Amino acid sequence: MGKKHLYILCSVLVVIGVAVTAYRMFVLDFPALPEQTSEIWRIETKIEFDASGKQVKLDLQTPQNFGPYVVVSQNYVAPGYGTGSVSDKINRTTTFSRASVEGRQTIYAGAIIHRVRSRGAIVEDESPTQQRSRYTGSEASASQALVLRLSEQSADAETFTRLLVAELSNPPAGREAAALLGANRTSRNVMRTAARVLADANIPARPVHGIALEPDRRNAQLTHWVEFWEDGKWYPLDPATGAAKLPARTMPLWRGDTPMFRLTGGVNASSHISIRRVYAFTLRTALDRAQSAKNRLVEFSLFGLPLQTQEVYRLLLVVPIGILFLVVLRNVVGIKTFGTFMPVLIALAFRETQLLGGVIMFSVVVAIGLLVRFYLEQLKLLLVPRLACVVMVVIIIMTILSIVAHKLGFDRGLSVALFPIVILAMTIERMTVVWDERGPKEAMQQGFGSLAVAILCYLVMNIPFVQHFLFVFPESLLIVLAGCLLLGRYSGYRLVELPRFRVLAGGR
Amino acid sequence: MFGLAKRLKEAGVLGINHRNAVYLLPYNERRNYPLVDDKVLTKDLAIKAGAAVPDLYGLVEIQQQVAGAPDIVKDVEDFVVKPAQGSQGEGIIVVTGRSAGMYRLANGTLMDDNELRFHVSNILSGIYSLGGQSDKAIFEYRVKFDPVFEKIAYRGVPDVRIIVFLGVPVMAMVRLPTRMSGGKANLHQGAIGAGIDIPTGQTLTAVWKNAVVSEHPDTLNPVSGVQIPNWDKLLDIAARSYEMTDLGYQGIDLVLDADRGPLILELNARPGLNIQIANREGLAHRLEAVVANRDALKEVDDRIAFAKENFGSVLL
Repeated sequence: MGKKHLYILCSVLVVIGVAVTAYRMFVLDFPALPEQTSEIWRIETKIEFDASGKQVKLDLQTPQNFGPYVVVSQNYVAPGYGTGSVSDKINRTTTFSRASVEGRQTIYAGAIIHRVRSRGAIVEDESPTQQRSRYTGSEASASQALVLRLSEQSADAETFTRLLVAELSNPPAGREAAALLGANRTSRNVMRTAARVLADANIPARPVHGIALEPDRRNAQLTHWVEFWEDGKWYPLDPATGAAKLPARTMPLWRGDTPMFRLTGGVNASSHISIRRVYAFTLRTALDRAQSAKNRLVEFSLFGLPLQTQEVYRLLLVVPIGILFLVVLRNVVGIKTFGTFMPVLIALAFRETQLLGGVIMFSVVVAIGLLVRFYLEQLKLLLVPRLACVVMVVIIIMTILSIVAHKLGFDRGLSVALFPIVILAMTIERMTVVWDERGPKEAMQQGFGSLAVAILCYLVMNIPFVQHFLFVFPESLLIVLAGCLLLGRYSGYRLVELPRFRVLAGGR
Repeated sequence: MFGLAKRLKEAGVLGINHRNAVYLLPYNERRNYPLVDDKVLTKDLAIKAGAAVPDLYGLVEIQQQVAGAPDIVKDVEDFVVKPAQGSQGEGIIVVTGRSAGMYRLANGTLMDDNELRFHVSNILSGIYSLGGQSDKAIFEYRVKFDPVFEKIAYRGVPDVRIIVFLGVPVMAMVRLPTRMSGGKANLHQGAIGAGIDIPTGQTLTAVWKNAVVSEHPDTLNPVSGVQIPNWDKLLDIAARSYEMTDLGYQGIDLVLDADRGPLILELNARPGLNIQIANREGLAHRLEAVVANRDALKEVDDRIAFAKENFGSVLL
């Protein structure tokens, strides 16, 4: 069991700790910094129509997860309507229905979208079914002529699609493209036509409808593009650039020839999409997202605990950092303290009382405790009853301090629930023994040493980043453990030994 | 700062982490610690091994015996009370005589029967013991030190500390009580430590509270160049202590009694590092030399010869 064994153990711990932390940080998007915000988009679709007093049924296309866009939540405002959603691998259709209603109707469908850094798992569609030509008669021959001409100019599905979309977007008068499009030259019709011609060319394709995510659009316009199938994958073709990738900042909403909504039992329908960018705390959105995805690693994390228990762990998880720091101060620096972990416990208590209040509390309790302890020395009491007396005296001092602090208007003194009474009593006892045995100087040195270490531990444990990081990534404790294990074999000098042995360094 | 650390390392100065990680943990088995942590066990062990120790007058083991503690020493003028598991010389009372029914202590103060009982009771409670667990109080023979130390010790018994590694005496010093140490021979309490040249048994320079001194601060007599009597006998006892406890790295504290010669006072499984300052030399190189020649150092005589040959002081 040499050093090699230790190094292997530490490497394993560090690798596991770093891997799990990195996975949760970069893939699940848990924030490394406290209060980190991320981009959240709120897309709201408003449908208005006049109901004609019969049964009303509205099928609305609503967004679902795609690539870097993750739908955190969806909500609908449609009073009196029953809602239900059906999603296949391509589209998610939400149906609003009502038995009978009359007059102007307004239905809102909202979605919270989070754009993540990682490319996530792109929803893989099934391979497309064989599509039959939609064209007949003169349209069919126009389409075939166009396919024939473009096939000669293209090398593969991508170049063919690019040429086709370019030709359809800007059709030369009197050619096949103009005939196929007819009078409707909208982008939407261009893409629908492109998908049909592509089908004639034996390239599976479909039109896609989406929106560009731009801040605060009151009336966002749909954008359209076409997707073609090649080598077992769907590729989008950005009509603006001709590149085989999604238009920048554009999120697909639905695919195919389906309109955005289909209404029965109503007339004069209009739709209205608004987009708003909000910044939300990343932690919240990561959690929402992970919960909506039923991620095991979240179910199995501290966030699954009741809130009160979470608060306890928020405190508990910084203790290892304090302890590691204490190990460094004791074994690398060489500061003497009363009791091995006493300063960390005092530091924990400082979190309740705040630093200044805690230091005053500690100093006053120890000082009065010492006086009482010196008095008890005269009575020649046995050890355990004497310790018990010191504990009681400590409680009495703290009670009085709290009352006085409250009367003076400092309510800090009241939050002493965690102040370690027994630890304080032991400190007083140990300090008296050292005082007797080695003199007041040594006792004061160790007393102030303990207090200084406690303050330093408190300062380290109270860094918001440290608290946040350990709570969100508790697996990083493995790294702290590895550090502590390594310190266990540290055989170098302690800082305080350097001046102590200075006289031995000369002579050269 | 790193330069200083580097120079210390080159000089072979042993730091406390180095001592613990490289020598204590590998060479001292935990199960052997009680043998030296409990001075009653150490005494038995030493007697079995044929080494001399201060006579045991009596033990107080439970609180009920505390009342009768003065009876243990009613037939002797002087004695020492110490905790069986004390560390660093804490809790030791040296009674040099009686006056007016009171005990006269080495530091000149007086103590009555009740104060003695209270001290014994404190010892039993464990305030001086290593882990704070309950303890025993030892009443034993007070050493009358060899006259050679009369001029360089202030009220108290000087003792000789020898670091023994794998049975080889690697470094030694004599600890001289001062007024500041209250007659005790512990360096951190203010006693003087003077290094000893292993081959000859002569004292080298001395340290007092981290400062190098050449004379005793209370008696003003020189502390260097003093020949320790019975030096070969001391080395022999030290070398044999390895077989006694099986502890690879230990410190043995010996006293020179005027009548009875060298006595084992106690053994220490975690001996301090100040001995390096007293000798103006680091321990690490000597320890490494022992490890390198370990196979040739099986017999006591070989080990002493090796020490005398290799561990002469650089100061002479």
